[in-house]
Amino acid sequence: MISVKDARKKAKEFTAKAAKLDDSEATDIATLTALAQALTTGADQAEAEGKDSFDLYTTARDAAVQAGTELQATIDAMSPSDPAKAAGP
Amino acid sequence: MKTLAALINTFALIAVLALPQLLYAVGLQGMGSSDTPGFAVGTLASAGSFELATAAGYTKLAVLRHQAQAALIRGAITVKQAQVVETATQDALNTFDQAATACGQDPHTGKCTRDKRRANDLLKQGYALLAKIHVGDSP
Repeated sequence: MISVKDARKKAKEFTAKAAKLDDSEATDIATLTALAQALTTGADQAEAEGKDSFDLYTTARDAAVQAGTELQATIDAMSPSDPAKAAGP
Repeated sequence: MKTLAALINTFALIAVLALPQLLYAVGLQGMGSSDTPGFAVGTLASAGSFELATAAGYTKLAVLRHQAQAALIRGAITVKQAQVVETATQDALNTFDQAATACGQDPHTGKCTRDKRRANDLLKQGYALLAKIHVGDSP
């Protein structure tokens, strides 16, 4: 769990850090930006629900797992057909 | 003569056993390697709580998977290379999971209640695995 106060502070910190990175570090810029967004969204939702903290860990892990599911689905869709199936019975 | 044949067989067996690992390494190397200093453990992971450090790892992992998916769709990488990214990121995800288990974070204090040192070691391992993955932009 992370407090709303810490989340907002870290979101600002990561946004500033992303702005300082070189364009060649696209992955890190995207990561820091996504993390800042997750922190801000989580803090907003927690406040709307009257809570002072939220579960960042589960949100981030679920996003990683979902990204894996989507990547694997794309790989499967673009993989060459099974030769045995393509040949027919 | 028999000794020589046995020696050759032994080398052949070692080569076969090592082949998948070699291919795996080549697959990762083929897409380039980046140490990503801006995202080093020392600057980000140590900047906040263990939860934040782990969440940062999962987020970078998700970004790499999205990049690989986009690169695959536009034909910048092959299906095989995308599968290497998927496998490597899954290894990193498992490592971050192990780090979280080792930590056993107290939900209220945010502190590790189990083995903090092992949790940190695993966290570093997870980051090191991610640092080896770079999804190239060139077609």
